[in-house]
Amino acid sequence: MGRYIVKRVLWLIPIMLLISFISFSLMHLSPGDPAVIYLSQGGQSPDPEAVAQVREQLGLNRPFFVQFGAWLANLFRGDLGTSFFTKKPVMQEIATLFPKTLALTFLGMALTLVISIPLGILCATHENKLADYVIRFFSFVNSALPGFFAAMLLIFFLGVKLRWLPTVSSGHASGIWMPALTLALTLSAGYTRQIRTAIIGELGEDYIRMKRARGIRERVILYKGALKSAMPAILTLAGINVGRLLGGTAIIEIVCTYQGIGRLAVNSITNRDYPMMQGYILMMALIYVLVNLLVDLLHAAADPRVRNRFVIESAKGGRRHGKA
Amino acid sequence: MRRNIKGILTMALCLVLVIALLAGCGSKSNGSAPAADGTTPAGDSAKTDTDGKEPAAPAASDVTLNFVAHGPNTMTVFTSDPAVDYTALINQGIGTCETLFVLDDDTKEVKPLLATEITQANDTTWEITIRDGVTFSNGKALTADAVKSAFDYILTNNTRLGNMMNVAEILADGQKLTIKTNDVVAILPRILTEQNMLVFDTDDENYTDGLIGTGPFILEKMDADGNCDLIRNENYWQGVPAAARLHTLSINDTGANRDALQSGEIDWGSVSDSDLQIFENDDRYEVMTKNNGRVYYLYVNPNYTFTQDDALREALQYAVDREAIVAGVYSGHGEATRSIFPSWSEFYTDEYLQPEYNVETARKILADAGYTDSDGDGFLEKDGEKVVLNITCYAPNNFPTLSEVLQSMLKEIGIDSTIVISEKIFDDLTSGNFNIGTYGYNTLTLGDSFNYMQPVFETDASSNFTKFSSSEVDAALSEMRVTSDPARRAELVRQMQKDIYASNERIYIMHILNNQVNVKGVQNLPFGYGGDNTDNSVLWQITK
Amino acid sequence: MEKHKRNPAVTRALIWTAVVLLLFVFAVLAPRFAPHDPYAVNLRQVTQPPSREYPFGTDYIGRCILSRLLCGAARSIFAAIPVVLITMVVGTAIGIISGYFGGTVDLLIMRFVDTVQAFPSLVFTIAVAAMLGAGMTNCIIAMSVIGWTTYARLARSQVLSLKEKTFVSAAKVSGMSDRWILFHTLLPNSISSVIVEASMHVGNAILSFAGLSFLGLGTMPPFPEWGNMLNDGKDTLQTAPWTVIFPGVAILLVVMIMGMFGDSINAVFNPRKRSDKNQ
Repeated sequence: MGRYIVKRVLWLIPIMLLISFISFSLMHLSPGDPAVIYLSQGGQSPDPEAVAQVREQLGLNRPFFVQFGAWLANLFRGDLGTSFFTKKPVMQEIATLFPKTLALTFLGMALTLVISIPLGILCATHENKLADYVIRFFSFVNSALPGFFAAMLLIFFLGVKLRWLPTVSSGHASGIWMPALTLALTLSAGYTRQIRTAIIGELGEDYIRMKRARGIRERVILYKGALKSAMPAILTLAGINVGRLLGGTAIIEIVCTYQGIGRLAVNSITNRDYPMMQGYILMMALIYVLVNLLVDLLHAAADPRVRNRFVIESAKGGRRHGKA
Repeated sequence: MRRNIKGILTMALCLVLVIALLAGCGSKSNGSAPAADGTTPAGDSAKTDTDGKEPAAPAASDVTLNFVAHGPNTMTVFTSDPAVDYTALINQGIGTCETLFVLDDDTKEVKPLLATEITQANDTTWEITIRDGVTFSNGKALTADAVKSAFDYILTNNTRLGNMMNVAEILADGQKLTIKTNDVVAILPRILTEQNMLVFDTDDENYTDGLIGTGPFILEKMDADGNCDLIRNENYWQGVPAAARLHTLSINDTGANRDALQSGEIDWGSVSDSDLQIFENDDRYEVMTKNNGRVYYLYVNPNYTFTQDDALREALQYAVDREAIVAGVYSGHGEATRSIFPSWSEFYTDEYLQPEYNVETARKILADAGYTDSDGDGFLEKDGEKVVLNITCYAPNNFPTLSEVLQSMLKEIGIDSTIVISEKIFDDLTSGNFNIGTYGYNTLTLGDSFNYMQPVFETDASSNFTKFSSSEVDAALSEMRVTSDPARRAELVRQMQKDIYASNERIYIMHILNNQVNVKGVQNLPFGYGGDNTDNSVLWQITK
Repeated sequence: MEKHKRNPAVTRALIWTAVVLLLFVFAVLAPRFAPHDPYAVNLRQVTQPPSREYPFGTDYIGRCILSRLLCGAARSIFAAIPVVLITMVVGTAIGIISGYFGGTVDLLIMRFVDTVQAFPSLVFTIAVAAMLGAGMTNCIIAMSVIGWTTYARLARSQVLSLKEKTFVSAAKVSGMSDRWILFHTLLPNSISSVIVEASMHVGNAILSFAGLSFLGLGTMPPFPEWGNMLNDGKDTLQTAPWTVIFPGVAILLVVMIMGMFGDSINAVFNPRKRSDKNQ
């Protein structure tokens, strides 16, 4: 166990180096002189003298690997550079907005479970009956809805028509609900099906049959038996997906005007704000790697042959093609 | 062991989710901005004051105003630091800071605000009298020294304004401010109305999260997105502001503006042309539109492939149906133009105009110049080579749609084309690899035309993407630099247009109508609030 | 008699495969049924509601929405195919090599996969697409850069379990070359789960395209593409809902069909896990 931990942690070093390298290379692969971009943020054309000065100031005249080294050195001091656009430290911007996206993903995931656990149970207990078909049909409709479109529809109905929630999330106390609901709406389809599968699986297990044979009531079997056993797998899956969602809420944040880090990331791409872009990608990758490590270690601690492994493996290996 | 750890894991995950749910609910009750930055000491004390004085009717005087981010890019994170170009607009938009002078909304004349008078002592020296009895919101008196300090900071850090002002030195003595420039800066008083030339207290060291100014409102809190809570400045020099509180929302999407107006979250904002009809047909709203001299036009590049041919460029002049574009692409919210300037402007002349739309003339010019459809595909060839033009546009201003429409208009005269939507329009047009480029520009910045004419038409200037060059135009622009007489400046600009239109390197399409929608009942709203060329001196009278 | 004995899951999969094939045929033939020129701009009748002349109404510059939907079908549906194919082939190859050779090769490859998976996929895709410039091909490249890792993990885990099977060790013992074993035993035996994954990937790829189009990184105008049409219509959602509803429904239907198809394929190959592990 100890060796396993050491090995996993040691592997983090080359992985993080590679991640940093790729993040850093993005700026150098992109067309256009960063110094010109740095100066053109007001829409004006910079004069060549200022460009030369900024090139010097940003150290862009140095060889690629020297720049990379300097960037890494700053990184270790917690300095990700200064945003081209706002001229504020990248680290500060990320630190301000990250909790917002974190709150959004957790709330979205919590709502997803609130929606999909009852529906999943309903499907499982009515397997291949009308309720099952109806719910599954709608879950297919739901998962076929582009995220931005779902957000637009929710804004129109819940915001403009019913005036229940603010249409613009930013600057409102209750602003988080619109994007969180959108997120829950798009996610619950898959989760409902997943929970249905998990519970049907549990219901087929021997221990349930034995309980049935002993004459325990169906309701008790379902909640005390099947749901209880399926829960850890479902929650682990939700936990892992939160890690992935942190980087996947960008479009919903944009449509809902939610001031999260995803919106910041996409805007920094549009603005070609490279330090911000690099900082974002690096930080998100770092978080993902660490969360992953933590989950793996917890599971290794629990049992190398954890029975939920297939769920975790499928969550990790599975759908990386996050829909936008 | 195994069961135990699994149990703990489950418990932990449950706990996290419950916390998340609570956090979601919690944010409902305790405000939205966890960002600890933002509250200035002045804001804090002012808040308690007002809360004490106005216990009864805050709702009636609460006004939420929408603040649309300025500039060509989408702004995510706000700063109020005037060193960052254009973002400092926020200080004016929310009413915390003011300028020495403003432009009159109708006449575009320079009006005094924080200064009472400006005189030109000699070519390069200007003397300004700062208004007596004005105080910053922290109680400090406004002196020439304070203005000098603010200007020094802005001109050092903002290269665009630094270049425009070209200051040698600023002297302060009591209420008298003297600005000496290196060269003649003919329109210096107009530059002082520029939104970034704001006056703020430089002693308060946090510039990024709100400035201490002289304006009618005091910033209480600004979150990372630029949403602001403001209270009125009870000691404002023009009088006690009508609204007790302002809330600004930072929205940079016209669709979101529309939704927020409809849902009652904001009291005014501007919307897209196609959405304007929603509000025009709804008597709960009032709609204002105005031609502020912002023009949409095309660059036609004489240095790239087929548009090198003068005849083709001339034919293009006749191929653009401006009226149809205004009606079809911009829902009628624009004024078609064959000139750089709107007809009411002093820079407009009907002596020099671009040709009127005429497909037949365009076809004839092309036929005479030897363009034929030799392979029968419906598109013309020149010397056996099929003519395909590149239309380069960028996403805002509905330009992709405009480009699609242009494409169909070119098809009418037998010219094929492709559309490129550029993410970095300035670079792509500067590179010169385009036939037709779409662009939007304010021709009357600061109520003057030099800031359009110089960068767009001077030889080798920054926005002269077609490398237009005319010695007459260059000479006229040089004269403008040192001439402050408005009549002479207008005369020079009118004369320049002769060579410009003759070159066929630009096609002017329309002046846009800026719009502003407000909920009925909002009064004394300055037009174009938070944007260019806005007279913010009346902001203090806003009420609902 | 035999028909009745057939596994219902197989029947379902066959039906959905037929539906998907029909859809593909439809996408190819659709332009023939277009009532108007999909590129014909008519500024005199912009955003007209559905009528006999224009069954789905007209768009923001007066083009026939039905014609554009029909002519854009192939572009919208088939754009997902190269993404799925590229990521599937590359990912599977890497996964099989990693699993078969094991040891250091496996370790290095899998750590690389870890690294790629760590990137926030949506934003990274947007960043790559923006870097390369808008357009369909660049979107395909951007989506493939990260997408392959799923297949690599999947193929590797298949190979790892197959390696222990007797027929593989038999082939090794009888001195077959690595290449022979890879192509004749491992590939055919691990391909089924890869195909399941791919079948479920198609719908998501179409949705991702819609997302990139929404950000203005998709097809260049004037070519009709459903994601773009949906995006163009978003400003007229209230004033002309038909500009949004029809492309929206078109995407919805196709992605649903793809989802059902993937689900049914999955049910055949993974009968125990039924439904899907797709989130």
